[in-house]
Amino acid sequence: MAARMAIILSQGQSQGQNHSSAKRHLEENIAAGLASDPTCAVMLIPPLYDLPPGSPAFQMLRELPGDFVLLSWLYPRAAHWTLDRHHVRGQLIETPLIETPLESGVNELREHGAQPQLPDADQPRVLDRRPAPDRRIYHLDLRTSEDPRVFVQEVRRIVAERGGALADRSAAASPPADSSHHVPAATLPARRWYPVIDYSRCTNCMECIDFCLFGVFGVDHQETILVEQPDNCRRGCPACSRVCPENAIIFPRHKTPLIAGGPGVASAMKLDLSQLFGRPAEQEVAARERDEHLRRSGRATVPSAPEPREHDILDELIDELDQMDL
Amino acid sequence: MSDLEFLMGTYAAHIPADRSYCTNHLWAQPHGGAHRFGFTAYAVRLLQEVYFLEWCVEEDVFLQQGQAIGALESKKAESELYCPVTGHLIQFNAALLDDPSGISADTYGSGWLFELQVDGDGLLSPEQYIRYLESVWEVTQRTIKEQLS
Repeated sequence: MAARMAIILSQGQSQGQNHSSAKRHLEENIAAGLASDPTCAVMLIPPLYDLPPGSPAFQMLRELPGDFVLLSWLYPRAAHWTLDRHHVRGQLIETPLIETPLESGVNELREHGAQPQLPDADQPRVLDRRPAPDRRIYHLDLRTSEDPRVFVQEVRRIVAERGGALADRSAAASPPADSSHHVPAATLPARRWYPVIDYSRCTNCMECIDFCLFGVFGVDHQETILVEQPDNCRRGCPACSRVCPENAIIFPRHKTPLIAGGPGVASAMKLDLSQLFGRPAEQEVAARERDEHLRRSGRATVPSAPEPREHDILDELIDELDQMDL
Repeated sequence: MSDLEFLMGTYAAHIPADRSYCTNHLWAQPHGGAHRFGFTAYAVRLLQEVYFLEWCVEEDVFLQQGQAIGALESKKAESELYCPVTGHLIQFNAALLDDPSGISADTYGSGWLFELQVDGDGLLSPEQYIRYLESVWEVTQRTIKEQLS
């Protein structure tokens, strides 16, 4: 018996009626296109990123025995490491669907692993000491085409390609024939906002846990960084992603592709530190805040360069007076 | 007097006791009739490795405190640079123009940025700089966050 391959279709969140219905339309047409295929077991799940940790969908995903395909409205890295956080682990396989007219060969789709060209490629990553199982998770980003046939064709190509290997495995390694999860749109989970760590990039440097003021991050029993309290995260704040030296922190719903898990590396994102390094207008504000902090703690204000010269002299005189043992 | 440290999370920024400081995170040390200025460990920690440095003023000019004098870019950040105190610019560190990585490699030594003739007023003692860092650390983190949100 030919093994069936699980095809997981993660629904899109609603973003207005038209957008939402366009998403539904694509999802339904892909599901319909694959429904009659005896080599595919199509399962529809609620939006992956928004699933609460105890969701039955995660339980179902954890029980999937072998390779599977995930179609989602997320970048492959975002989807993959969201799965990983919920103990659905495997090798990230991206199959980019966009081909330029110059690229020849319909089936000449590039497959490549998750590891991008990072600035410090020689640094050990968390994934190095905690390798993912060999099972392959094929990620397809539903935003890459509006044509369901593109996805159906690509899924069939993957299934056919894996067919040779799967034929040797036992039938028990494929999902049961009756496994299908259809979740009506009315039950979509509430939208969430939390960081997802790409452990193929993360070096466990702890910058994020030091920086975050909201207690989102924690460490496991092996002192490895993890997103411990995702719902402590401040909605819309991607700051830890920007301070991460390796761009290992993904906010799948952020509008900037680099933060949302899109292709690219650290060098493309820059903090502007000018105001911290002396841009005058901001510095005056900082000085006022500083003085306020100092006054609150009952200490003298600091004589500083950005203040007018006469203030410096006066402050220093006062400091000197304070220091005199009168 | 012994050197000081400022904790940025778990990272301890080293603040040597043998020099003065500015609120834009530069150290200053008398050198040949002028003062040598360079980034503090606090600044380098925020910037990480600098790979681009450019000055937009000539040497041997009078600079006003707060005047824009250049720009830099690092792995994670970019920043304009401003004159820390009013004075006469003697020279820039020519070695850094070829390879600015010296800024992070030897922050308090060969990674100095420029020499400026100043009267020493308006510079902070190491203790004052530490107090300043304590007072702005939260604001600094918040500033970065707000910028990114």
